[in-house]
Amino acid sequence: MLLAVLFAILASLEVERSFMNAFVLTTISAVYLKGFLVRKTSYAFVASIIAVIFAILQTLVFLANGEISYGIVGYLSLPIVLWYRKSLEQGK
Amino acid sequence: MIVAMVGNPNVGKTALLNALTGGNFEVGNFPGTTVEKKEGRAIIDGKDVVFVDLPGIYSLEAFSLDEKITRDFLVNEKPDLILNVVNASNLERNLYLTLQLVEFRIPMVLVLNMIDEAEKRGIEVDSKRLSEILGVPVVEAVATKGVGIEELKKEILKGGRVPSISVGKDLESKLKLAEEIASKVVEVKRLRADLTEVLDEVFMDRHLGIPIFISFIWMMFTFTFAVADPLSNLIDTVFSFLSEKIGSLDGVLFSLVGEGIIKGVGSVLVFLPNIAFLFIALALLELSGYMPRAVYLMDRIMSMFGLNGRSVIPLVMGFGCNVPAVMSTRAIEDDKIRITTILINPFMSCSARLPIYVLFAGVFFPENGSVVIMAIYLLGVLIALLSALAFRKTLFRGEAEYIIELPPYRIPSLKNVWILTWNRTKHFLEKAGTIILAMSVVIWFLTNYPSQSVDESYAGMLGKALQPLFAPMGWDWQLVLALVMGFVAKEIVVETLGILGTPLDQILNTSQALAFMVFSLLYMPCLATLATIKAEIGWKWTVFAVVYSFAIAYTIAVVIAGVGL
Repeated sequence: MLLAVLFAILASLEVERSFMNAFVLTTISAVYLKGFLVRKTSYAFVASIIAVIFAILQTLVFLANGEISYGIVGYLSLPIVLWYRKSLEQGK
Repeated sequence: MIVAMVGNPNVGKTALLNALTGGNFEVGNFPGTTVEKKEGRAIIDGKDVVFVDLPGIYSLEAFSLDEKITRDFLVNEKPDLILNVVNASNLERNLYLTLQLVEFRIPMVLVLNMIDEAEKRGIEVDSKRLSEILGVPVVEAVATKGVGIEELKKEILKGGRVPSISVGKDLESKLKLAEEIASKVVEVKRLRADLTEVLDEVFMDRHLGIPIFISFIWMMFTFTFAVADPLSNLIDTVFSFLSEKIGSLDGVLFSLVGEGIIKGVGSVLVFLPNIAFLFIALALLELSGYMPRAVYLMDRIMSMFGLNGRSVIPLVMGFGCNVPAVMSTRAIEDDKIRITTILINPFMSCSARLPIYVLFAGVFFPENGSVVIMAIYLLGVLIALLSALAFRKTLFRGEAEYIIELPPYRIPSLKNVWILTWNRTKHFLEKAGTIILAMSVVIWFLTNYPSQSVDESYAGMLGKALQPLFAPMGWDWQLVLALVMGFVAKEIVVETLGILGTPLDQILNTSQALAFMVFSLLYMPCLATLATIKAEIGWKWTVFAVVYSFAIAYTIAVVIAGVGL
């Protein structure tokens, strides 16, 4: 839930810079939120994957032309990806 | 020794071909990657072995063109050995084809591929028992990792065995037998949530699937344009410098090389990074297994337009190049749907059109370039779908049933991303070195003779002669000339404008520029695509494709230029 709120705030901050970037952040927020509502961790896992991919992309954009996006905050989701992947491998 | 590789779509035949031959054939994680037979050669213990990778098929009933290709090859070429590649995770369905292959009485080796994925999913296959039942050697393999390849080579050298199992003639008895065999050799140890199930639950969510898909598409476009920009600028700087230095020297030859070849080829090569980055993004989507999910998500929308799942694959491939995309329609069994899919394919914006959008978006939409280009791509999809609907309601009436296989998700290997990207980018580079280079000489000649003044040159005459046709859009003759030249290959539109040094911002307003971008998207398939359409469905439909696409492009461009922004 915390992450859903965080990404919703990021989306609202991003909307003036790039509508489509804000759309991606809103989508991430919505996926976290649905996971919270239906009590399924798979949603948090996928939301985190998208957030990390988006953060990597925004890092590349920053390196390429200096434009910075709140999407970079998506790296915060990396531990969730790693934890879930590990638990899947262990068959939990 | 000729070895035919036969199996269902997306079971790793091409990956196996690469592992056996050390080749660099394109591998996908998308049913229908191979639409023509591919050949690879290997020397195994001094023996020359030719491997023929046949298109992935579910049966040999020869309903679709790729089934016919496979059947004809087995009947006419009589290979020495069949390598029947099966997916270990889905044995029962794969065995149906195996039992059809038995009827050819050709020695066979069965490759139980992707055994690692089966194990991960808790599926165990008793390969020894399977070998006893079928009467052919069975080799467990993981083609992408090279597992089982040495053992497979040994079995190939032994020549395999003619299957000893007796099979009924009719479809039902084969299906029943496949089920029986699978029940004897497959054991599902445990059903634990695997990655594919977890990801599918969210990626194919009824409410979130489409927003996630749009997010990925947006990321693809950002990667293609924003991230590739510095590389494009670097290439531009180098070519501009060379063109200026050489072109300023006295003499016709220097003018030809500097103002013609370097300027012309450079104006197209500037977009090489954009194209390569687009291919990297597409390769990641394809190899990860996400692409078929996107297709599945869009199914409800697609079926509204009279298309089926198999039509979507060529349409997605059209974003790369329309030529292989048109060829990939061979997997479509229904002829009406196949012709419809071919006719609408050129509306899918191929990578050759990308330089036009990037050039115009940079000049006229500097703030929202990515959004405008994404909108152009979506417009192409929309026109394709509406055209499909029109065709299916008039010319090609009929039902459209939907079948698509969803492969497991995989983390794309760098090697496969590289092969896929390089093979596609290489095509662009080859064009730059051949047709685009030749056209730069032609355009240079047309713009420099009989007069040095472009206005009075052959190019000027041609452009001015055709310009009245495009007067409603308010386009200058230079733009008209670029479109005419672009018929050979779409990159040449940009090349022509580069050689002419057309100051776009001075001869166009924003709506005229947008109309030009849309016209370039729609106006007619390039020469290579037309040749492929002709080869696939004949002259009549090729002429139709030209006339139809031109009429659509013209009408929409007039509206955009007329309405304004």
